[in-house]
Amino acid sequence: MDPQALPWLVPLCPLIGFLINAFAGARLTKSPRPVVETGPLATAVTAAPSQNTGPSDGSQYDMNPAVIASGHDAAPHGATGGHGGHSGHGADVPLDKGGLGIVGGLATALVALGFVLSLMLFQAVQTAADHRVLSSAIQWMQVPSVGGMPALDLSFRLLVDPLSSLMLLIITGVGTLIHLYSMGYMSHDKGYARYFTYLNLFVFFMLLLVMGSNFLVMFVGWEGVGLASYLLIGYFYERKAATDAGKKAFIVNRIGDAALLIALFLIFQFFGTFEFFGAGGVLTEEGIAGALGNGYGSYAFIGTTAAVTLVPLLLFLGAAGKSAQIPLYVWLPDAMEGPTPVSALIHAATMVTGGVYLLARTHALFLMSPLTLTIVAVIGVTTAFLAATIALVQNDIKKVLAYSTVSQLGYMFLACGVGAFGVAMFHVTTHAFFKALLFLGAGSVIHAMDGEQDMRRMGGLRAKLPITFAAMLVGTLAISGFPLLAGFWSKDEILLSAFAGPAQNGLGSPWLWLAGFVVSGMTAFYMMRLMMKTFFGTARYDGATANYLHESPATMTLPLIVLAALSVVGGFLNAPAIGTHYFTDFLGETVGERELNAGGLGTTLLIASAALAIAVLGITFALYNRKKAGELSTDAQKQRNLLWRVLDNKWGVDQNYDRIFVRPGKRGAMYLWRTLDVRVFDGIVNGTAGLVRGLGEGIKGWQSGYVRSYALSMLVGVVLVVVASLIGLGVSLR
Amino acid sequence: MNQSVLTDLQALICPLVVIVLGMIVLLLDLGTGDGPARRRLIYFVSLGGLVAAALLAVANTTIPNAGVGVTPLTHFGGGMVADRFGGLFCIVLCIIAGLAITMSDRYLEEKSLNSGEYYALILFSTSGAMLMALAYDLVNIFVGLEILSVALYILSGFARRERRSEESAVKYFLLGSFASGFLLYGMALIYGAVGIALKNTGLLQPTGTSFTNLGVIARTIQESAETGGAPITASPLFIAGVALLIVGLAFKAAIVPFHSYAPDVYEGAPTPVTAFMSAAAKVGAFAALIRVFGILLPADNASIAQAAVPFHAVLWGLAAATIVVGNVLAIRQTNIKRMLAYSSIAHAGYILVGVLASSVPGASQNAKDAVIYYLFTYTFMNLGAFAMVIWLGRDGGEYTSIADYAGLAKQQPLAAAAMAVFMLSLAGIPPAAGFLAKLYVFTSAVQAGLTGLAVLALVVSVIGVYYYLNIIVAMYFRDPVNDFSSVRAGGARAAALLSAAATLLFGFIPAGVFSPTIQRDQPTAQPILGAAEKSPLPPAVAVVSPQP
Amino acid sequence: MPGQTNSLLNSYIPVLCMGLMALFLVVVFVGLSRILGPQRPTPQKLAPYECGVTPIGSARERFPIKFYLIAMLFIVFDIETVFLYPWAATFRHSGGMMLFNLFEMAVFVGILLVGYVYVWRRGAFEWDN
Repeated sequence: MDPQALPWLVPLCPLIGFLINAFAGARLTKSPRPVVETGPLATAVTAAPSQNTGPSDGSQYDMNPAVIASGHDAAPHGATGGHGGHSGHGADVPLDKGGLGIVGGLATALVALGFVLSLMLFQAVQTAADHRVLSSAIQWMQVPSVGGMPALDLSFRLLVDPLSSLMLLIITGVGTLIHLYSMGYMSHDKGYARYFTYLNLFVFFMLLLVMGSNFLVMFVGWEGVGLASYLLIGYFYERKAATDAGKKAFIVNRIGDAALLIALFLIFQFFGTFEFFGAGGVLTEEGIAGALGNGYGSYAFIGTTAAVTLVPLLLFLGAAGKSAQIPLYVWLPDAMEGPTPVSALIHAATMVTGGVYLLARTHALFLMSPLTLTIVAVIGVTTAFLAATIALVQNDIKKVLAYSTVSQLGYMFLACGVGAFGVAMFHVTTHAFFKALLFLGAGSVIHAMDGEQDMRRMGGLRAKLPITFAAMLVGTLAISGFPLLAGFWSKDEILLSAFAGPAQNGLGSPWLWLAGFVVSGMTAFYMMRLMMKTFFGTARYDGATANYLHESPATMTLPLIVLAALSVVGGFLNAPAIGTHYFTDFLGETVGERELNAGGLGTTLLIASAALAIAVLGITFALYNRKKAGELSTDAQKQRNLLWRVLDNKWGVDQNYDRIFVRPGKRGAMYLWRTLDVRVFDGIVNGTAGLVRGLGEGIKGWQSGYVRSYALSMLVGVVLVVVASLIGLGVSLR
Repeated sequence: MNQSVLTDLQALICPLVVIVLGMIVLLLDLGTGDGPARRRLIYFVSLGGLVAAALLAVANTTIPNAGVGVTPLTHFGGGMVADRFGGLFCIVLCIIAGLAITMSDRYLEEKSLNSGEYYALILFSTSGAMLMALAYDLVNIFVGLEILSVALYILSGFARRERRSEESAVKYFLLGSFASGFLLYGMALIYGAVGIALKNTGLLQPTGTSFTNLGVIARTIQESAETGGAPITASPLFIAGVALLIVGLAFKAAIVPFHSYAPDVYEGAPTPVTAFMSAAAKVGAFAALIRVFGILLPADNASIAQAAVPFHAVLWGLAAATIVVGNVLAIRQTNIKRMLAYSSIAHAGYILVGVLASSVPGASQNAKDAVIYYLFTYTFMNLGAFAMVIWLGRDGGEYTSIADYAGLAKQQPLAAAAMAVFMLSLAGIPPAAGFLAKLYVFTSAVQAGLTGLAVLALVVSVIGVYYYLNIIVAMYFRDPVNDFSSVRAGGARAAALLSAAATLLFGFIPAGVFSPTIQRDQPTAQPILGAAEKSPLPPAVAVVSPQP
Repeated sequence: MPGQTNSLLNSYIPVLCMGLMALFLVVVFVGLSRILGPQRPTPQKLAPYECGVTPIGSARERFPIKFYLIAMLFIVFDIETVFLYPWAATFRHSGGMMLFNLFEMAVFVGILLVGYVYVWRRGAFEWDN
């Protein structure tokens, strides 16, 4: 196949799926109304609070009043959609089983096809010159040079190098599994076609994000996944919490995106191009040299020593929005309002790692600014710590995983911050395996429990859900850094890099290592706690649930098994301790410096991590195994513990954001609207409109309808034109 | 028949095919058989022929443009020229005619108008505009203009039982003849000026010299400037002649103050005819205007670079007046056809900004690209908007009041969406193509040092947003007043949806679908990355278009 | 070259003089007759001159549109026929272009023929319709 055409085919697959399902999906599944048109896009405008609507409106997403009453974080969002309807909505929402198969199967098959194509590209990349496969280019936009700005000449073009090839495999590979899983998970949902439409749309944009050969194609993907994420978080749009969460994610991401946009403007100003590579590309040596000649280096921001800080700093802020880092992480836990497979795919495995991808992609710019790198490392490790502490006390199974994701993303940024971009990408990969696994496992539990997400109402599920239990156990061990599993190797490399920093770059610090080490222990704790509360101990669910309880269908357990296997062996891709480094070899120079300067220290740290993981897992197991059903601490007991209160309150970040940004923002907006907008701008606008209208009234007189007056006006025009031309001649001759 | 005749015919194949197609359609209309079947036959023969003509014109787009440093491939004794510029205009005109015919089917049926004559007239008119774009002689420009116009006069009165239609035809005819007179007079003055110059400088060739041939005029200008004497471009006769030429073409393009016929004619003429003439006449006129300016007063030619200067103030004033008047008066309109008429006047103003920029050294090539791109997008969005009016009509009538379209989105979501696309594009809001079209034209204006005009155009075009959005507001946020459950649809729907798709497509990947770049006189760095990579220059330099 | 342009315009000066003279004479004669002649209008004197016959009704009568149609068709085909004469006169001087010129005229006549067939089949020649 023509190597220039191959890259196009990959994003084309989900795009085709998106188009087919968008136009024919609703019809195929015989949904009672055209669900595609009435997504959260529509409801976000009206935002009708449907929180407490009774069952009379036929909604199967109504909250269970008992759940609401049981405490503020006691599964505050009620049933996850797609499960509440077992008892009755089958009659009023007749779903065509065959249609479901077509819609879901098509979506899954196309992503799987994308995976096959990604494998082909993976092969092609290894043999290609410079390890880069470039697609043909579509001319996109051309603006000539104006006012000192360089001419804009933009192509729509795809680039596959080892970095994007890796992301492609993750996106399409994990994506296929999660599509497959979704076919089972969403099978009872009336918006089935809409769900797969959005999901394919997401995959399409995610592929654009990682395949763009320039910043703008990447930005299209970047914004596109934001849109898809918004649509999927607000998928159960009849629930206000879901639409609110969607909006929150969207708005918080806007802050990061604004920073990213400014970074892009600056890049264009100094580099004169958006292309990553090629002649004068932003990430090439000559491109950077050209930019430095252009004044990039002297663009002072924080003193002259940090002259090139601003661009990477803004890029990082953009990445922090997408990858849920301090200060923009608050949207990710709320994003758990979306269907669980979505949480697995978008909010754990792929989209949220987009920020890490961005940093790895632009590491050439970051490496020029040690200050920025240090900021990245500190923010990364702080995020990891903060999120891990919050995860310690969560009762919602998905919330634990959400904070865990934020925490793991913090690890990845820590790695980036010490200049170990390849290590960060390695953790992206293993994390995609075990976090997707954990989310899908949690989804399986929730599915089995008919939408229950509160771990306090679970317990003892081990026997009822054996496959789910086994898979989740593997995931837990992997993320905790149990020796030889995937997370062990990747996390160990991060900690090692944090301690020493890659070859003499002087970015590592024992303090960073220590913080990461502590977080590692907390990870093992909260994950084991999750396992214990869910699968061990006595059953705390009611009788109806007990009758309902069942192991998930094969479409759901199969992805679990595959991901569990990957979580076990994934780490051996790059385990220097036993002499494998396929991963590093493959990524090669695309992520810059990668040799560790650890010496004998590596083994010591490795053993320390392993010991910590095993110890904490063991202690936690013992701690929770000892407790009987009735011995779970009550909220009242916990309230007496200050630390618990702080953590349960999530360090008060949401409240403080509300107090510091949201409410003053609203007040400011109100003020701007009432005074500035209504009085000043509306005044100007209305005044202008009046002026224009008056002008129109004046000129309108010319339009009398009489041919003679038209002819006269033409004649006047002729005289004016001729005379003005002759005068112009006179002037030009003088 | 010798070889040169064949190449001559081949070069002008597109207009020839269209003319012959017109005659075939006329004759087919005489055939027996029942009405509906014949109508269908004529309809599809016309459309098929236009597609063929457009495909044939594609061949021309590889021929370098006539201009400085390029000896044009002239045909028919130097009277016609086939080049990329003309080829692109032929394609636009085929699209215009195709869309106009596509949207006419049920309209004509409901009004029981003769479709054979109607399609034939549209085709003849189109061929006239094509001849204007391919003409290399002032006389041929005039002939093309008359073929275009006479057919349009008849078409605007085609619904002869409607008084408004009659009125519009008469008005158009009277004022059009008036304007043609000026145009012809201007050509006569140029003829005289060239003749005198040739006589005085002793350059006069005894035989075979046509003083109206653009090549001859250009050479005369060039040589009269180089021989050291006063150049012909400094002769008042010549200046007045070109000024009158501008007037004549400005009338066809509905430039203020020669626009006054437009609203009345557009309102009265049958809607598909309005759609057709709002685009075809403009395209023809601008093609001729750019051709005449580009060859007679070339901005890129150093020795006579100042030749176009006397007209700068005039064109500046015309463009500014057109943009202001078009936009300001469009606001007042409650009739959608009149509103679109004023809107098309405003767009003519924007295009004129590009034409003006094309006569300034250093910006010329970009400006021409921008104008051609603008005309392409304008074709789709404007014809699309008119097609919407036809689509939503029924029983031989249309909803002409803007208020009639209230609540359309609730009854016909697809139609409302298409209409919204056209309005956004006309208003110049991304991602619709109209945005890029404006962007290109205004950037070229800034590049030409016309910052003031560009700012004025930008500010005034914001007014335009108001009346375009008005329709969107009516469609989406008002309660329905009319029942749109059974509408005409038919070909008009196809035309509208096609145009909407094209409008969006151009806006998303504009240059990929149709590169706005006319083949340049010198080989330049390709805009595609692959070539840029090989270029040793840093990108900021490599992508700047070469200008002398 | 303003000088040369002026020399061209100079040649029009006699024409201009002639025009001015004509205008002068018209004004003088009409003015003189008005000033010198006696003015005694009667209704008979003011009536339009119809060769001594008393006018009946308005001269602004409506004609059947068929007259116009026939007149227009006549003009079209008549004028086009005039074009054949110069062509015929120069045809034998065509030299190598003879076949081409013949073809050109065939095209011209062919287009006319299409028009003729069209008006014929449309019934434009049938007076009674």
